[in-house]
Amino acid sequence: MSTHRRGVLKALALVAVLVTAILAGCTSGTADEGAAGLQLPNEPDYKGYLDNTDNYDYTHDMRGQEAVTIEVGSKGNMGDYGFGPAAVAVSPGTTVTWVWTGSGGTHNVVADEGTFNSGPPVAEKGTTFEYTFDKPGVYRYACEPHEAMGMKGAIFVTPDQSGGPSSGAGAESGDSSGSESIEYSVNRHLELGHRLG
Amino acid sequence: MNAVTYVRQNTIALRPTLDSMTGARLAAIALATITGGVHLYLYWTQSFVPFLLAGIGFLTMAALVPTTFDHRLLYLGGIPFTAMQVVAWIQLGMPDFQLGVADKTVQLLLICLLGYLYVSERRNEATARVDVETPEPKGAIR
Repeated sequence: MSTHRRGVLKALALVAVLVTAILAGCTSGTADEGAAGLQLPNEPDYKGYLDNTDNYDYTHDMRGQEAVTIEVGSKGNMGDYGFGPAAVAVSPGTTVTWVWTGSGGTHNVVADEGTFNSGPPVAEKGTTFEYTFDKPGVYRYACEPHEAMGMKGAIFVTPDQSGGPSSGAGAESGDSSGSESIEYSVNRHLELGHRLG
Repeated sequence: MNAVTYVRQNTIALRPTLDSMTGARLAAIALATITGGVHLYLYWTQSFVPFLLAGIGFLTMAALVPTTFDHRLLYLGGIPFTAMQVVAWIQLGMPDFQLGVADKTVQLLLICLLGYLYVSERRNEATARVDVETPEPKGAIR
């Protein structure tokens, strides 16, 4: 009986080693999507928000552009659970459009502090959601179904065109109390009725 | 039985058999196939490697039922393997909620069924063993 049990344990140990090896091999190759945008001289402080977001490499500098596009469901976090790129720097007045890739199941875009919300999670490829950032600050957001898996992002809105985030310029506040002026719209390629039907 | 014989019996010497196929075993095959299929579909659409491993695991489990594989190991291994899936789904924030609820219902049923199979088949084995060990006293009196 003891040799029998030892045999079983040996087999289980072998399986555990193999599974670990497969996992290690498959997770190391997370692709870097959305290479657009250079690195800022000084990285904004996201206060650990993106610590478990493995596709967050650096804040992609997209300042000076009127419109910026971010993929929803790009490669990241062991699957198609990434915002691509995860962190971007934009100038005030920039309209950011999130475009669903159709991968990774259902996603949404929800601001940490409630500034913007794309609504219930959807999976359909081509779905878009846009928001215009007028106030400087750090806007942290996540996909609700995959937040625990690290599907999170940040928008750093800064008027500063030369350097990185200026120290103590109120840029870290992310305060969105005066949101009346902020234009906000949701565009879905699919009719609501079609989805519900 | 030594370890080498045991491993051999459950690997290269494995052969298909329908000898003790019961309704409960068929139901276990069906449930494991459903949840295995769901996980392969999820891997197909979401590229999340644990989905692939879970899918392969459940389909392997289903495929091993109609074989000479050690069913006690299959049931005792299958219960924590399946329970782990339920826990992982909750810990990951219950993504794909509707499909998730349906899939976890299937998995909880599978856990109950594996438990039932383990207990009932062990009881049957014990009964069979008693029958073999105490045969009718044939030819005792000449």
